[in-house]
Amino acid sequence: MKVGIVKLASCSGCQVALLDTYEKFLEIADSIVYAPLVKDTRELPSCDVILVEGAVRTEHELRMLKDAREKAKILVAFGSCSALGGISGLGSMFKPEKLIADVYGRELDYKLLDFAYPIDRFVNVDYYLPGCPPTPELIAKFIDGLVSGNIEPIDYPVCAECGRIVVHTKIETIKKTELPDPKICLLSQGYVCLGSVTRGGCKAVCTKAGVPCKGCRGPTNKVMMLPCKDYLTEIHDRMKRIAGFDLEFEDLASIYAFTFSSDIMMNKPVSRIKEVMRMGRIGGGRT
Amino acid sequence: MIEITINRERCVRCLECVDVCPTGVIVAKDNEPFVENPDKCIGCLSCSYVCRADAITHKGVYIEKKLVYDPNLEERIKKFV
Repeated sequence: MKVGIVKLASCSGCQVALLDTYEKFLEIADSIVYAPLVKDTRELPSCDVILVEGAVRTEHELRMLKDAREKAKILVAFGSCSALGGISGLGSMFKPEKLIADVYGRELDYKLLDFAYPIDRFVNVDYYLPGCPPTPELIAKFIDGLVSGNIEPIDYPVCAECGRIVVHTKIETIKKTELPDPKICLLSQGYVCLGSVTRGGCKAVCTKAGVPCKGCRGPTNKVMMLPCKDYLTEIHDRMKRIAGFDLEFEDLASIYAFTFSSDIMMNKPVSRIKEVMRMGRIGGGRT
Repeated sequence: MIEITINRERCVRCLECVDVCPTGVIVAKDNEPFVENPDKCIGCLSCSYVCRADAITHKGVYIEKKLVYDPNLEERIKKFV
């Protein structure tokens, strides 16, 4: 099996997570024919599997992506940036000229695309492996699945693996910095935890350590399918029922952090992504 | 008659279905939801919508609303690993 890894607009974190699989990486190390981070090959050859990491932000990246689709039998959206827009997708909140002016302080020769797109906007994707980054266990399981031809889709929320107990409470303010109780559900305690709307499979590493879920694996199938369901509406209703607290979100962009450029979430009637985007683009500039 | 089943493997015991059921069909016992009076069910599907783990299924309820708004979405969602 020939494996290639193509990197678009991303941080290389997913490739590092692939290296973190240790023994599993040694098994596939010989079959990797193209990977800018670990191998010194210049040209992308034809591959059985190509893992695409990162969102599409420039025209050069768009050409690389289309080239990868032609040369791959199986194309995998590897990580949240390529599957759902991810952190790179947050750049869509501002105009490209404004981003370049803020970072470089001058004009550049090449132009950014107007938005940061997930890769399925341009090409057909065979599998999505979201996560920021996907945990080494998930990657190892996915590789096993590719080899044996039996890939199991994951469709349960982070809550299923978290193990915290839901208690009905009455809270008054959102908590951010205080240390949480180790056994009680973070929503019951007043933390904005996206675990109940986020795809599981990560073994709930964050919530088990007391850090509220940020939703890096993207929404569950149910949240994707139902037009009336969204991160905001779901978390709002849930906190109202469990914690007796009528929440007003201040930082909307952080709720949609990993799905900001995803058309699945953006086109929902209840979604407020377009509103945040309009505010950012009209107002311009970072705050 | 409407038949309600709760998938025990998927259920995360948040008991939100007990809270939202308007007719008291689903009852909490030892921190776990049970279907107690199925003949009182009015088929509003509130419990099914609120369930975060998609653990509650109804038989005998006809849903007229079209829930999928993008015809290709279902195909795409199946590919998420």
